[in-house]
Amino acid sequence: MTTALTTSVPSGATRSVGRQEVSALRRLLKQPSAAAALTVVAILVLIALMAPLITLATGTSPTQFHSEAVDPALGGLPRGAAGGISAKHLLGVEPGSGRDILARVVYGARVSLLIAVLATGLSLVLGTTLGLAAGFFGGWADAVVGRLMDLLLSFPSLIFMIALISAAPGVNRELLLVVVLGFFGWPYVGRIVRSQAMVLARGEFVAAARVLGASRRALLLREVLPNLSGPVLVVATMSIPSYIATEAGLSFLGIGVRPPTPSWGQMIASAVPWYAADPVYFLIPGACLFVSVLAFNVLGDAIRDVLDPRSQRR
Amino acid sequence: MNAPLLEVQDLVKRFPVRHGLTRRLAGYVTAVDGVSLRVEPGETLGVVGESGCGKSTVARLITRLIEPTSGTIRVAGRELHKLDEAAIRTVRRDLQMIFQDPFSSLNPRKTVRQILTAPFRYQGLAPDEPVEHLLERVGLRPEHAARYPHEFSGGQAQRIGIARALALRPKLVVCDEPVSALDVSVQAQILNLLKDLQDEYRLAYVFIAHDLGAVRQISTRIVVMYLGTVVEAADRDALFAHAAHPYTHALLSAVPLPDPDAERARERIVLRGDLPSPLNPPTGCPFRTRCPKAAEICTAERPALRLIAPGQEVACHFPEPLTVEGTP
Repeated sequence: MTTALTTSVPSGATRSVGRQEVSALRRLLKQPSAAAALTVVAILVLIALMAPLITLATGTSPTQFHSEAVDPALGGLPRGAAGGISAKHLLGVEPGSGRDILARVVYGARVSLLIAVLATGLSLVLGTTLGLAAGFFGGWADAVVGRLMDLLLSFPSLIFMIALISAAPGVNRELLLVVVLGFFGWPYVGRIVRSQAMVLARGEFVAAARVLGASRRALLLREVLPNLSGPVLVVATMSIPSYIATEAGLSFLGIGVRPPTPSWGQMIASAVPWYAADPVYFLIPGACLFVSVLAFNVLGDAIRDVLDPRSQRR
Repeated sequence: MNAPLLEVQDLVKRFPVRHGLTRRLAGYVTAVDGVSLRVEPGETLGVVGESGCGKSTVARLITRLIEPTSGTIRVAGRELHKLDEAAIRTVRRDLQMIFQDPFSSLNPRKTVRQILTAPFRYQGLAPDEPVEHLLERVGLRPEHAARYPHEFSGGQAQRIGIARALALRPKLVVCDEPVSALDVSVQAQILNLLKDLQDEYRLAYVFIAHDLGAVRQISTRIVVMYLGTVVEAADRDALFAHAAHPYTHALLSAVPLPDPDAERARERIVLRGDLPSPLNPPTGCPFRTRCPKAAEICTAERPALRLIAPGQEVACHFPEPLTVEGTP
């Protein structure tokens, strides 16, 4: 993993979640940085969802070549200023092929977000299930899950991913990325869920439910699990940017999303040879990557602050 | 008299103590060491003692939150340790618990309605009365049902805990320091509520507290615990009139009196030293290290609980004579 997910969820988070669910969103939006981050994230999601509509409106597609937009005499450099920005190609065109950058960027957002969200989903499911079992039951379950998490966290996952993806050339890269990212990411969720579940399992309301005759299953699903939603939400928002960055990194290295499917990391990689002649080509996917990772990180921090009364800043 | 509602005999709970990386067994802490109790239907047994004397462990053993090392617990004639999971679930309808911290005993993510219907759901029963009735019974308003625990004061939250314990119409409720976390003014309200409910439903309580004042208000019989053992057991009035164990005396002398003159004149017995470590308890009488009367026999021989007056048992080699001091 290129960016290690070093988020810690304070223990206060679990207790406060139930308390002010409605006002939590209100308090979140009161912070200008959080409101801005949420807006950016919302716009990103909209862009990704509406990618086909956007390209329909501009009359382009991410894979269509526009040879008229590039100048073969200049080695395929886009015609016009700033990387060929024009009314037809709002963000310019790709040097060489002349593919529309706006179309590629919006489809790239789709790929990046989809992979990050699915990988987050997978790591949440694995991490919550195994972390909950480890923290609640303790003993052998805890020992096994604990060692497994240690193993995965100390595993050179980036090298493993490169090796695995090179060794399996035929498989669906997007799916493979989701599975590999999710599999190496769950211990970050698992650690947090485990420690929270441990505290909750010893809590008096769990004892109260046992006195009432609750089965173990009911204790886990009805008493402990609902109290984990706060910390899990925080890890989820923190892990999305980390997966976006990892996916971009792998695609940059040529082992992520395969062309012609567009991806930001891949675009940055192909912009590298052109950086002096056509810096705009480099800047646009770079800015997209930077802004979305930043927005998710700011949002994640803000959610954690809102859920944890002890870390409230003024 | 019928069989007692609760009968506890020679209850022992030892916790293993582990050290270091390898979780090496370093020894055992005997939290409860041979405790026997009896509770009749409709009566309140007060259990007092300082922190660490094992009274909360007794509460958790009776409600089977933890397993005893040895000894028997009978609830309405049924032996708890011989029952399987399903049978214990049925016994739990008769045996409920009220916890010390009203907030941590209520799930913060659940509404009061969810909290008060949980007993029926966990028992696989249909609720036999609306949540609103339960709320009214403990002095809350019906519209409180939609709220979350954090929206209540400590006293109100404890009322929710009481309503939950009463939902299944139990015969015995174990109260583990139910008022210790509350303001003094609220304590009295909760004690009164517990008493009213007891009269209404003929409940029996095991009422655990470190505060003799609260125990005196509500108990019919009182058991004094020290370092996992019962040192004295007596009817409420007998205990306050003529306590026989030196430790009970020390506890009684710590209760402030409402009359300022009496309060100033009150003789206080201040115990020296701390509670001995239960990891390494004293030989003989557990109280001898802090006892003003300790003699050689106290080191050599552990005093057994013996009857010194009708309804009064004490575990001491040198019990106080029955006629002196104490608050009348």
